[in-house]
Amino acid sequence: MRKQFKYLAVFALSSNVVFAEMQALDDEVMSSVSGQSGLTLDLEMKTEIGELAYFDDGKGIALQGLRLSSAADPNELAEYRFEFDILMDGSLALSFSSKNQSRFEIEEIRFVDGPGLASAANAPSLGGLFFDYKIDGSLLSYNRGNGYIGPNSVLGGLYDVAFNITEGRLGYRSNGNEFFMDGMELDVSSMGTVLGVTPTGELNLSLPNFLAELRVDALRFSNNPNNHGVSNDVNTGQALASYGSLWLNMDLSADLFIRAGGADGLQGMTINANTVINRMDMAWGDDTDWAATGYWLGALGMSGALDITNLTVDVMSEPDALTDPLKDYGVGLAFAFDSLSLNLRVQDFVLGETKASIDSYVASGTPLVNSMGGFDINLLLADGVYNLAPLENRVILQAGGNMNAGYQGIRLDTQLSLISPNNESNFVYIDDGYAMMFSRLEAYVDGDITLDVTSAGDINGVTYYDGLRLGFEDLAFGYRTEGMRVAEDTGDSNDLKNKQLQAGQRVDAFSGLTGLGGSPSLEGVLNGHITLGPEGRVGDEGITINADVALSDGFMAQFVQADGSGNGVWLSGLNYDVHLRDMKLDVTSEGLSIYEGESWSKMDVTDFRVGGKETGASFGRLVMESYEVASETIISAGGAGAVCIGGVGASLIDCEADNGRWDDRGEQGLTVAAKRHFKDKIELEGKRNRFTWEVARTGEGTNAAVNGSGLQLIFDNFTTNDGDGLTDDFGIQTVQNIDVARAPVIKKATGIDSNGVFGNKGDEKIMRPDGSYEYKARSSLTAADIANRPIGIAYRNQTQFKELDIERVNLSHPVGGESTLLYGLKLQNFNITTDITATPMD
Amino acid sequence: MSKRIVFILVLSIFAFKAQADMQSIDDEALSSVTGQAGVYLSGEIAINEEGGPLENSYFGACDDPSKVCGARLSFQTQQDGGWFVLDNIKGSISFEGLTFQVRNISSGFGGDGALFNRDVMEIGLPESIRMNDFQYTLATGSSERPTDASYQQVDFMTVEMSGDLTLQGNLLVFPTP
Repeated sequence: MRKQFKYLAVFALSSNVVFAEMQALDDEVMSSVSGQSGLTLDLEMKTEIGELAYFDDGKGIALQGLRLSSAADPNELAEYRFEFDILMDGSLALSFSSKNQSRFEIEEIRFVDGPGLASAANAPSLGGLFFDYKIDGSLLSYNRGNGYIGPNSVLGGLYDVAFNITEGRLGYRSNGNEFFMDGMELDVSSMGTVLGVTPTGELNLSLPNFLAELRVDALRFSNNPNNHGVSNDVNTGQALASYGSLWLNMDLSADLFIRAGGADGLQGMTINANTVINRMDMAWGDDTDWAATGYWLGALGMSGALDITNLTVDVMSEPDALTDPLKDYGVGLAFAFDSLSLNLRVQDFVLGETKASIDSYVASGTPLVNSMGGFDINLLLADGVYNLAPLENRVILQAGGNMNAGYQGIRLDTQLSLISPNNESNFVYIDDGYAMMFSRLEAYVDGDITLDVTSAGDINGVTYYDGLRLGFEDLAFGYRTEGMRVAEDTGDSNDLKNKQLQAGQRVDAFSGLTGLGGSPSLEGVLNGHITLGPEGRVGDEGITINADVALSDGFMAQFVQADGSGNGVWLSGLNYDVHLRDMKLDVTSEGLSIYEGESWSKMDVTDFRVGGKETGASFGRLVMESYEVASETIISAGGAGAVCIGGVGASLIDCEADNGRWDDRGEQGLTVAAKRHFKDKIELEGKRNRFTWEVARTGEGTNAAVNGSGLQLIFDNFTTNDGDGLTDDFGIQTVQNIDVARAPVIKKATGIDSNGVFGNKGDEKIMRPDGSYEYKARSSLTAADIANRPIGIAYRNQTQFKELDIERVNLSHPVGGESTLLYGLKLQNFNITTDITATPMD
Repeated sequence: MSKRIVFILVLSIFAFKAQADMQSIDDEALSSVTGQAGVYLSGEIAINEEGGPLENSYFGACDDPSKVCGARLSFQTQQDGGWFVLDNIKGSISFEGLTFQVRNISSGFGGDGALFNRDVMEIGLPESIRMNDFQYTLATGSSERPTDASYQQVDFMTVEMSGDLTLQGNLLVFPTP
């Protein structure tokens, strides 16, 4: 990445129409308002600017149709009061306040070729922004003379800044639809702020004490073009649909440096920034009164650091123009950086907590009711290589979004590279004092992401849904980990890096909304969209998801060895389509509730391989088709709790009396409870439940096996019912608990193990404080030994169903035809519990 | 949410329908062959240990001697024919020391290993398996559900297993599509 010093870019200003009204006050009037020591200025203004543009090497980004006015009526004036005082020491004190709710808006944001050139009405645009507010605050500019000040020795000013915004509304508008924060309040305090120029010519903004709290009463959506910046629909008078509330609380220390010159051409800018997150809390509330009613999902007690090196900003042409003209979406605002490092600890992640409980936790550390534990997120984004492809980090912001959805929208031509040569990038889950690291995480993204606010309907044969539409266009991606490391949490995730590496296994509970997550490694190419609409199933607020996502040319690991070979069990040549309709998300007292109106998917695995993802031996092709209606899932905090393994008993005494092992897995953990209804096939719509295993294909054993040419074993049209073949209220119900917990590990043969530790057959592995271990005879174990059993990942799953009905099992061959093996297969009255703890293999 | 539970279950079943072989190998030899890069599993699998979700004229609570509380699997091999039944399946199996890893086979097996020279799934059998009142009944039935009108069932035998088993060696699953 180029790192040149360049000169500061020049802002080009084209101001077509400016209307401002200023009301002069004489000294007598001012003194009556603010006392005898200063100056009071009442300002009433309505300002319109046709275009304000920034040009970089001849290409510009233009803010068109800027307006500052009253929010209630754009033809009325925005009103402010400013009060100035010069203090005894020569410092300047300024206070400011709104006298009415103001609106600042930008009608269009476009990329332009030159100043003053008119844009076509339907020329691609990023869309518009609007900001309604009342502001009240103060600024104190200290008199520090004209010398160098601050830790970075800048020539500039030292300021104390504090303000609060009320009656706020911040929105994004595209193609007549709006997504906005409504009822926004923002409190900001930044004492000791330094703004100036360093001796080397960099602009420095230093925020040593930045405090902010954001409260958003409702995240609203409008699909009525007549609405603009209103809480209630202008036609119906009804409150606009809401996604819920948002709360953000932060305490940061930040240092920002900007120098002239970007990565492309002679102009642009380069930014370096270091931020220490002293504390941050973030939460999403559903049907809340911000006290004891309604429930929240949130990451609380966050701390850490974010450093960014050489972030360049340029206005430049699409690089694809030279290599792939079909993907040329014109000039964009390009962001690129050498490295970005994030180290963040989330003390508690809550699911289904009240705001009153969160406030009490933040204020005084009162224990939470629904914490699933904490996380450490460590990420290093920098230039790297993934699957032999060189990658860097850059995002080009372009206009238009999804081109079929209208001329307004956002397109992000994205390439991101997450590297981890020394395990800098990883993800750690902390449960009751035990930590589980997804070690040495590497990832990349390369392709286009679009963002539009869309309304329900068909455009040119493409169906759109109400909400914020996140689109994927040939988005190649991949991630992988080397495996997992588990140990006691010390508060420093670096301590985990030297712990024994354990093979990575797919965790079904982490598979996410589309079923693509939870694997130790996944890659492929994404196309499609996920549209997030307002309103859930419970109460007035929540999220509705409609999605059509296709993954192609993929590889998904079910299991990856811990030896770095990449060998494991792979779904290779993966093509996966998933469709979600009216999936409703709500936060309830139980946790995150997910209701699927209708969903269907097809997972086509060209080769189910053992060994390397491309070279391993294949078991053949697998195809899983799924069709569900009205399935429900609840993700809640807390794991399995106390369980009896190998016996039956609800207490330690009863369990041990039945020769079981009593295992208390603590208060934290994760539980995923699901109720799924598999429905009868709808042939015309391609919806069905079917599993197919195909072998002996033409070209079998090579990378050119022809799907559909071999012998297929087909389990067709499996459905659920209540045991009567008529109703289906029960479905398949599963409860999965994930914990990090201790478990016994038994030596299977006398001798030394792979780590050189001797043990007799039947001995138990006991951990020592330094991380080493020994084998001890089970008869000699003390309570302390049992408390130091190895830490593993505990999965508990209970699956129940009244009846699972498979219509038929067929054998099919394109030449030999089809024959029926079974004319019916029924499983009734099942209640299966599996409780498995996985630890490293010695 | 996840839609893969059944898929993985079926995958597991069919992995074993591929070709499998048993081979005994000690820890030291194992480590010299492939390293210990797999996973060690312990736990239990319980089926209808405390009954199932169905309550009707046939299924019910385990403390009701007139009802069946176990799981039931039935299948029909001829159109309009009778049904094979595996009935009243219940009990639990607990184990310690089941291991799983991928292993390369490039020698042995009477020379076939060198010809194969590929990776296989290796399931290290647990030394200790404990069966807790595990049982099932083999039967045949006249129609698909025991609650059907005029349904008749003949129970041929019931198998019950309790106690500790010792299993040694490894189960190798060879992919041979």
